[in-house]
Amino acid sequence: MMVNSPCFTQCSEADMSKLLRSEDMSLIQIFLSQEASYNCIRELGELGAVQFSDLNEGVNAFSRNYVSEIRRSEEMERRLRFFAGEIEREKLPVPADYTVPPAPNPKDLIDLEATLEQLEGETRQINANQEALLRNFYELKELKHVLNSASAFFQEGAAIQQEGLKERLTPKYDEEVAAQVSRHLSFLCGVINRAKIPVFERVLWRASRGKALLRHMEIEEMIKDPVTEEDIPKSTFIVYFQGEQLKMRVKKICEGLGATTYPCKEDWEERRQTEAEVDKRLQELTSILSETKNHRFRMLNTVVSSINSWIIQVRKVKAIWYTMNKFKKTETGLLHAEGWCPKLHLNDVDRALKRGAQVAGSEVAPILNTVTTRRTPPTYHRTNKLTKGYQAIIDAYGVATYQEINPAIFAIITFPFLFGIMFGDIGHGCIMFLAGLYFCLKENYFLKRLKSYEEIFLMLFHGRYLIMMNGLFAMYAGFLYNDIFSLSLNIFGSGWQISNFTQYENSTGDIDPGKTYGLDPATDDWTGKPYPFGIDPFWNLAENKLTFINSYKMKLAVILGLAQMTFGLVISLFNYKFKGKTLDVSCTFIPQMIFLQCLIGYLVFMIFFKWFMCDPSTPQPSLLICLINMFLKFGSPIEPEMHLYDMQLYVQSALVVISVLCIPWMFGAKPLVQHLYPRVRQASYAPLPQSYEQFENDGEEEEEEEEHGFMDMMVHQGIETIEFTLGCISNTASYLRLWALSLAHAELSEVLWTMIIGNGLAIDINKYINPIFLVITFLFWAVATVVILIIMEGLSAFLHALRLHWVEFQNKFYEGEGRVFAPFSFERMLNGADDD
Amino acid sequence: KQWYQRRVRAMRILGPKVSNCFFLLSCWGTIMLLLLGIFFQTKSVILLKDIGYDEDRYESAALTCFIAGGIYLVIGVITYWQKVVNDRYSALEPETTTIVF
Repeated sequence: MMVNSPCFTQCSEADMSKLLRSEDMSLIQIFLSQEASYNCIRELGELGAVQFSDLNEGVNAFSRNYVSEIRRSEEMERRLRFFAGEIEREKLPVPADYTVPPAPNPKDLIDLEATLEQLEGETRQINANQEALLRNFYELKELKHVLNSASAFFQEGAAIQQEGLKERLTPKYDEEVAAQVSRHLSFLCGVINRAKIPVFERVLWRASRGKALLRHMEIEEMIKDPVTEEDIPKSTFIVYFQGEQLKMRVKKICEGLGATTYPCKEDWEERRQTEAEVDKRLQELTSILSETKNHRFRMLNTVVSSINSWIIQVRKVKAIWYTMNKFKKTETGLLHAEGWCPKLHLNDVDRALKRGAQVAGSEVAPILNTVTTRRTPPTYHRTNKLTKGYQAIIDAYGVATYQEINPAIFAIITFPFLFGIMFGDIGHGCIMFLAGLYFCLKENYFLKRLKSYEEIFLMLFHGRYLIMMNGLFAMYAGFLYNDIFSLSLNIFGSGWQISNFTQYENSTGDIDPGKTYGLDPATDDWTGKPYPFGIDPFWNLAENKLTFINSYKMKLAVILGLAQMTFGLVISLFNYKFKGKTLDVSCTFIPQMIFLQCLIGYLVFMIFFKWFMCDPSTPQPSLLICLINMFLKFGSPIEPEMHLYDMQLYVQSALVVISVLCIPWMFGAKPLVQHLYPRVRQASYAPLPQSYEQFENDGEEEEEEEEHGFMDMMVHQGIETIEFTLGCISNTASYLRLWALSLAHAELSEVLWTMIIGNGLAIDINKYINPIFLVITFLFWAVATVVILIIMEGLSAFLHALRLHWVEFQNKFYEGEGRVFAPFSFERMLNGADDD
Repeated sequence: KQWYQRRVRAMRILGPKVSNCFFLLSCWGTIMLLLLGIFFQTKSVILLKDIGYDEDRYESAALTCFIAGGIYLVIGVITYWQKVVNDRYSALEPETTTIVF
């Protein structure tokens, strides 16, 4: 996208923007000293006037000069992303600040780097501390739960011990032996994930061969995992077993399943003491944790206010280093840069370089050279916020070749005009106009917040001037078609009347509403006073409304099509003259123009003739059949039904002969002349679009031209001739979409009105309920109008008008093989231009 | 400041999108229905179709349109008030953005 940097308006030579053709570009070479280079490129980035060529094209990205600097800036970016992640985790609100900071100078850059490093270190440390504290905290909590449930376990355990012993020591149950055995029973208690308990049980059963006993109890409180901050349901457990071997095995199983064991005393007193200690520790930890949290919060808050500004600065710095990687180091220790710059900004670039060198304190002044070259420069159209949108839609199809006439300058009017012809409704146009106007008036508000909108809205917003103009022209076309929400306005008084009422009366003498009537200019209904501007409102009520309007709109479409195509051809004439290609003028332009006028020009002449000269009382010839018979029945006298005017036979025969003669003229004249007079060849050859970095190869050009022989030229011209002649017919027919879309729009509009609001008004129940119905039906009608007619039809008309420009208009003259001027500009980069 | 915030919050019935949308709709509705009513009163011929070719219904149709326009005016006033409340509410909170790389 082209950007009008604010610098331009204050310091350029103030010649008006020459939107007709690309600005003059020159190839410049800059020699910079190493110390000044960063500052100079920084100034050039803010200025945005130079597109640098990559002088180190073959070099790997890792072996370029400033790789370490890029690594450093990427390290800074990584740190910033870390902060962004932390801020998002805490869900801190980021204050909106829409100022764009300049790229930092080297000293500030080092400061920024140090600040980021220090902040990151501190934050990471706080995070680690917090994690450790949390872990400790949760362990203590778990221990507390274990202690709580231990008493329950032990009571249970004592009972089971007795029973188990009874079973084992039958038939003789000796108390002493029982006590002995019970002393050997040891236990292990701890905490385990609730989900793992069944597994734990099974493994224990197998490993101990049924000799170990597991009891477990749920913990109601959810324990948080300190790392993932998830709540995990856990349970306390206790395992009873006998013997040292089993103890080792149980311990290993616990480790394996992630169950933590805690030491627990059997004695109730000791347990109470431990519990008291744990409580005290928990309290301490809670206070320490909250302090840590506050500290972290405060740290992140200091970051939050400046993080967006830092991000922009780091992006600018990275862009500077990437650009500097494109430069070459000369033997004398200077940096050599090359690039394209518009001629009118050369002074600005010079001043920016001097400023940069001065700030850096370097004594070596940067050198700026203009180099003459035969390479084709990139195309640069200096646009403002109004023309930017039109340039964008033209560039979407193809960027104008350097110094070719830019169709965007004409599209500023022709595009909304064709849109209006297809949209043609005062009411819908008014709504569109107001919508566009709203966005244009509040554009500063939206421009600041561009990044926070979705793409569809952004597309609408960038096209706000287009929408506004489209709405305006749609209103104009609406007045022409006399159509406002499918009704007609009677401003000037109709030129029709009903002269004879009797034909519409039924037997009782009342007007029969069922009878329809058509308007016929041959009858007395026509008063002879034409409606001053637009279509007569009476047509809205006539039965033959569509018959008339279709014919009218189709003819209008053909007339407009011829006008635009002729205009396109004339532009091609100007293009040829600018490049000095006189051969093309005489061998391409003239026969094309004559051919087009002989066919479609004659059709348009017949249209006007029929409109002005023909008598409405008798049936008149169909113009299309006339045109077709001109060719099919060439030479034979005109039939009476096809007779428009005297001398028709001679005029038509002459036109046919001339247009047929034009075809070999278009086809063969140019190759013939080039073959016979080789000197003429060079001036007429279009400069071949060359690749970006071709220093030599000027000599090779001439060799290539000689190789393009006669046959190649013939084939090329043959294709162009066929394309043009067939295109004459097909493109004219293509313009009929102007009629088709406006018909669809009018019919949709009428359907919506009669079906929705018509029904709303037709309901006649009660004086008080009617308005409520009307309110509801109006709501539906409004929503349907906006969604179907304005958005859908608007998009459709926009697309078709665009297609008419891209194909039917531009294939008469446009080459479109240029490339866009993409200067190194921070503004462009921040707004999302993707170059490298 | 807290109590002010709470008062403003309490007055918020419709959200910003709904209130803006219906405000625009009711503007359009008022103007259009008023004009339609005027056109019905001047007995414009174009509208015959909509009242079933019955010339006597012109006045009642005009009245319907005016009343409906009045209803839309009332809706417009309500939504305008809601718009103002919403603007005040969002002005209280400082504007936040996301971090964009």
